[in-house]
Amino acid sequence: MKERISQKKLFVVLFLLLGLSVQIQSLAQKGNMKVRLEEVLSIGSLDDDALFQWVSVKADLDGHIYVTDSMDYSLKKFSSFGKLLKKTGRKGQGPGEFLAPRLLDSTKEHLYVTDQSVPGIQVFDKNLDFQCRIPIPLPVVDFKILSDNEFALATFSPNEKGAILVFDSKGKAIRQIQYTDNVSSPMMDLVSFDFDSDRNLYIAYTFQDKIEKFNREGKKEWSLSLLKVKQQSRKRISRFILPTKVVYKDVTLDNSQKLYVLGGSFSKKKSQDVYVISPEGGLLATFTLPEPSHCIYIDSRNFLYSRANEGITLKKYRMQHVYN
Amino acid sequence: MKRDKSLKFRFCLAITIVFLLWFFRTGLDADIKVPKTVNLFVREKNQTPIPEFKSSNKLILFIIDFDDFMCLSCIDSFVNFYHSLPFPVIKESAWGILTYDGTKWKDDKPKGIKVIEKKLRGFVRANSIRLPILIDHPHVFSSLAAKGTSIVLLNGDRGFLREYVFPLNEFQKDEIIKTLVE
Repeated sequence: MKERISQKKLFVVLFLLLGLSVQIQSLAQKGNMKVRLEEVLSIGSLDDDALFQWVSVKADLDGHIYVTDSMDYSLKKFSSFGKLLKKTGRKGQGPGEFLAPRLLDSTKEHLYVTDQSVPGIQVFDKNLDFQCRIPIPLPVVDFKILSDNEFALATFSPNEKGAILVFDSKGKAIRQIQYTDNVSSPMMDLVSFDFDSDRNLYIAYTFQDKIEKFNREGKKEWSLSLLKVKQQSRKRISRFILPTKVVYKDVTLDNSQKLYVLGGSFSKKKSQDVYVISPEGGLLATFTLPEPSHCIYIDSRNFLYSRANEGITLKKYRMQHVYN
Repeated sequence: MKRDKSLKFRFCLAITIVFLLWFFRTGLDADIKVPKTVNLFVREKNQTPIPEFKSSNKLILFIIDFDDFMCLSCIDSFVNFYHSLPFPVIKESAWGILTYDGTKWKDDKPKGIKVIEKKLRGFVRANSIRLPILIDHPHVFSSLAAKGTSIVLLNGDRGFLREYVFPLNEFQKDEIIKTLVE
């Protein structure tokens, strides 16, 4: 008898929890969600020499924060409290050296760093000791590590259809995920991208008002146009006519697979507005970063990182999702 | 006796004349002596001597655009050229002026100044720049940086000044270095 009562209680509790989560889900999809940011950490100030012009950031499961700094050609490691633990790199093209350190991604054991001026991806261990260089003959616009043996990158190919290229750990191209059907004008197909845990691909175009999702088979599931951009300004540079205004600057996913897209010049608050999109392609919320940023990143614990003080400061925020 | 007196008289007269001649000569020397020139470039005995002042009237002024710090490949041309200059030129004939857009931090100028100072500090250190660089807060040189980071080369020996905008071609680099070292 007692057993039956406790089973019933358990069933009721589970039912209520299920109902509550469905309710939250539907509220979120109706756009009744707000995102509040609470600053929890600030690395680099106007008076110290911690950061000069940081470009990319990654956090590991231990809370360590890794940052590329283009002004002093370095890769830096900070503790979870923001203390500089190690710095590596100097100006150059040799192993562990940089001319323009840029993008950063990581696995459990390694860090991967691109250089805007030097082809290839440099690999470091978590102690910032140089391991090897993966030869990639293409310019890297964005990249993501998929596993220890695979990584994906977006590149700039003027006469090719837009595609995310997948390489093995030795730099050999394995496959590609095509996201455009036609060859566009130069740079119009540049994208930032991310993959969720199911290997679904999300892309946001840099110079077009388009955000899209492709499933793991490469089939487009949805396409969004949030800003109603009618015309892109262009400028002649050398023999090319190139777009000049960035529409979307960066994308990142949180640990519940919601997509966060950082707006550019066409947003109300340029380089500060962030659009939160559900996996089904619904706009859930828009919030504004305290200062303009060139990128956003959300770590595995759902902390959001963005820029302040013209790249001298890295800010870490706890995100609070509030449903009305 | 008379002869002795005469000799004595002549001797005294000769001594007197010699004495008078010596006296007036030194006096005249004192009157016409040129005042001792003060050499401005040599300090008093106790102080360390200043390096010898060059007679060359040449100056190379690097006008650095702060916006180029956002695009390090843009400013690489300046860094590479700077490192190609002979050390004596850098030491004695080169200055840097960092210009920036004054409207950018009009709401918080003290913060803007700190941002600029910090980025300059990082840039100088990372690129081993040993040039004295002044930040152009009164925006005196802003118009010169309108086309980006550039050089103003002044040659007082030949009476000209020229502007060169980065990136420089090989001919311009040779021309500048030749002007500075000749």
